[in-house]
Amino acid sequence: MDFFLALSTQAKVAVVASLLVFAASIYYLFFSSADKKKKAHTSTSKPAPTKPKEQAPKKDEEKRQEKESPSSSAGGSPRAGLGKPHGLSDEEVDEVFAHFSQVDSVGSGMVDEDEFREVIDLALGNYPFLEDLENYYMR
Amino acid sequence: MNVGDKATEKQLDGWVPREFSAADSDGGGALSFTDFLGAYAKLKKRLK
Repeated sequence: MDFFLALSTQAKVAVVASLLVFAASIYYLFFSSADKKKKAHTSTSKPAPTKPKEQAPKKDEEKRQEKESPSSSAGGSPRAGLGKPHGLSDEEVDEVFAHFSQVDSVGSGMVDEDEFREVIDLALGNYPFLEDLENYYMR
Repeated sequence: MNVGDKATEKQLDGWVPREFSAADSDGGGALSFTDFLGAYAKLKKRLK
């Protein structure tokens, strides 16, 4: 201590400065190595959380395909559900469509008045309820 | 003609235009299958 006090002011400043530099270098060495270890640790552990992220979209896609597949594979009549608002079954709708398309020979998807009459004519022999049409006229 | 057994031609002459115009929702002079199905369903309900 006496030795330090005996030094000139410039020497004291130089000693203090060198001590600070030494302390700073120690500090830097210690913490920089700790950071490197941390970075190394995080860089090795990072790929692990990315795997589930990559798998997540796949699961979503699989779910979407599962949802889509039943409707696409079900197929069925293109007129399925068309008779629901009228309380008609799909089978009945198909039966009516058979008569409709028989008269609509052009395949326009439309029938005019004469064709409508033909459909009714065809239907009379096939739809039991239309046998009451005569009684309907007599009312 | 099957209709002759159940209803006369004259009866149909009166009935068809009436039913047709009732079913022709857009008044285009032609019925789509959906329109026809609606007319069929109404007729079925009426005659039951």
